[in-house]
Amino acid sequence: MKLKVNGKEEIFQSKNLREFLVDKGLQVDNLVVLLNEDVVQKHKIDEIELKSDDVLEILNFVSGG
Amino acid sequence: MDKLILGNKEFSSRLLTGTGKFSDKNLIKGMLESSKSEIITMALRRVDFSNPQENILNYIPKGTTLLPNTSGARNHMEAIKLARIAREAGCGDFIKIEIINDMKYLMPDNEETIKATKILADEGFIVLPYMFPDLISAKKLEDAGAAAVMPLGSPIGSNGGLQTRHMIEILIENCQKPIIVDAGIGQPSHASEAMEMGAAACLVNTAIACSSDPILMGRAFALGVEAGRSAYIAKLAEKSKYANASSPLTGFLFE
Repeated sequence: MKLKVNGKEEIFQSKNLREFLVDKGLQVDNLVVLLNEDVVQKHKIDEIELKSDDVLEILNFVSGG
Repeated sequence: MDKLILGNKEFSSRLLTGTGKFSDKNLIKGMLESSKSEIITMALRRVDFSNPQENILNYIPKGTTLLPNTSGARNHMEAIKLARIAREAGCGDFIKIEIINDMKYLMPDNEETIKATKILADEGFIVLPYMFPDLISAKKLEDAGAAAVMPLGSPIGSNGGLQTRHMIEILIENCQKPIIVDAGIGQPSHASEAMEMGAAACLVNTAIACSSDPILMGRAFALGVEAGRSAYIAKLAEKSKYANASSPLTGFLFE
């Protein structure tokens, strides 16, 4: 399955959004995830099945002034 | 100290702080306590998969007002997108607009900042725009719905103090909204000076985070801001070119 993740095209096996994030080695609670431009509410992360050509932005809050 | 009002919220402290550049993020909590700061900034970035950083929100005590910034935005559309994401991610309605194209001096783009302010204020954000201290732009930001105007004292992270002092004074004299001096405040005396001039608040990050003891420096800035604010309210005594004796000029022992 081809996805665009943080601006780069990559091939992934995982279909469920939470599984995808965990496979990436990420702590889901710390993230802000956009799927096709929309912010994914945290309680919906388990429900979302990814499709080919989906665009994901995976962000988090970092130090800044 | 009298309250600072931003949007619909009241604050006891007139010192805003930032989460950037701390050698140890665990110092942020102590710094917030020592500085009494109630508002703190943070940024939103793509996750680096090879080195995922822990969410900075984990280091900020509950009850602190979060002020996400739009750093990384090069135009008003990018700033608006970042602001909307931050709000949807649960950061609340406060947003610091920061739109920068100049990577040498990190000068803010006032024109784009005004456009972003208008749209975000209309969407109910409490907009705090970082700007170059130009009176016309400040007026337009007020008209656009900014909750405060945040002129730079000197370039971000430079610790250069109030190099734009006179321009900030013009803003203070002519604007209705609070003027918060953001960027360049490098030492407590700079903050005190800004507050004596009538600034409503100061935003300080580098000078605290990059000191040897951010917790103690947080306290020092709190004292500087409080001293300056009290002096402004008490109204400074007049300056004179010549001496004016403080002791009586009559009844000398040796006359």
